Amino acid sequence: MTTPDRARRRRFEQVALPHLDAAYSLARWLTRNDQDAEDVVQEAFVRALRFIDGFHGSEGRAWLLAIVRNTCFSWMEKNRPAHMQPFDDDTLEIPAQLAAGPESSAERAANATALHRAIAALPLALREALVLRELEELSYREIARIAEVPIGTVMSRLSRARALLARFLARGAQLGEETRK
Amino acid sequence: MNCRESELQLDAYHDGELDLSGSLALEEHLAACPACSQRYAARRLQSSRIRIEAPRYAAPAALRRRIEEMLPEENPIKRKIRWRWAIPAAAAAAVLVSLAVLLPRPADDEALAGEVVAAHTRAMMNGRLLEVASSDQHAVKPWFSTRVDFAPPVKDYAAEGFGLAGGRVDHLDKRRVAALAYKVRGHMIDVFIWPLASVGERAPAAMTQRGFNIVRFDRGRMAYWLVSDLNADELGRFARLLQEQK
Repeated sequence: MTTPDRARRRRFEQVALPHLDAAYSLARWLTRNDQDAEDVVQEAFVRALRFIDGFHGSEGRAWLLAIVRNTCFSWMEKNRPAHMQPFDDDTLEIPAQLAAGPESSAERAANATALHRAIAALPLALREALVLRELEELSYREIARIAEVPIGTVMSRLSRARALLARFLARGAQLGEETRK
Repeated sequence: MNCRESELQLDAYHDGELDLSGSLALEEHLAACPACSQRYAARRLQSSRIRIEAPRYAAPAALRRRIEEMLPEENPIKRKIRWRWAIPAAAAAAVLVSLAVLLPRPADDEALAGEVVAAHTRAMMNGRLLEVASSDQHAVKPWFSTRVDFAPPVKDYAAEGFGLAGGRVDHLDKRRVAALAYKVRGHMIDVFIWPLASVGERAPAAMTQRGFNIVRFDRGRMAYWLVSDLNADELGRFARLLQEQK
């Protein structure tokens, strides 16, 4: 006999658990910190378990990522308000961490490559769009639903994210050259 | 179209999100404008660099354990039967049973696709995706010879971007099957292979279940089922590689 708890557990195991890596990866890119990402994902899974009865679609990953994203934003508003500042692409300062210069092998192992630093330096809303598109390979429609913005906004955020990333990478390479001199 | 408009649409075009007439207009502009076509080339290069150099993070094992621990118990120790619901529930069950007899069974492929996804996610969650972990096809192939009664074709496709990670024995459709695992960036692909009763060639067919992409085809007395959270295009490309292998 199937008890409600058992049915929920099974459904959760089918819908949400397989996407734990995707959930953690998104939280890690948004929070930029291992411990914060773990806290956010755990809280997101508590919410997902609570909402699982209301989920009837087939896109478990997009559903879960929307919960992770919302949990992440409210968690950061509370605990990391400085990371939630609004921004303006044109006046945005090139972040100092881009100038880290030549990398030691330990830094490379810790995912601190120039590209990692440049993506991590993107403003939150742009970073979110870029990670959902390039790493999770979601469609504009799915990203729009997760970020709760119109598709046109997804399009412009992606375009800005990629242009800014190119600028960061060019600037980072230049700063690296200067440090090496 | 001018360069300003082209710049606005370049990303949507690159992501395959521009409609046909928009794509045609942009392609026309790119062919005529070296500056924009250079910008487009740089975009493509940057995207592939991100996908190669900035892989997804994997969840730490301790986090996975904590989340599994917070799930409701699999077997509640004792639960009182709620008699109030017992009779309506029995009636409902009877109706369902009679419906089940009348309703057509889901297509076999669809049911099998469900099993394939379940086998894949079960192996991922239990961390037993790789009973033999090796990128060496000459190590993986003999491993199967003592475990299944057929010889699955095992080949590494690292040069094409699909690196062999290893394999395991799994169960599908009430039989033992070979499962090969391949890795693409942060995504794992499971390839289930088992012998068919008769020679059959079926062209690849793609489907989706619970957020996973699936492709199946038959080739030379073997059934192949691929499942992954990789995008459908690349999974389809990999299926064609497997299908054309010598």
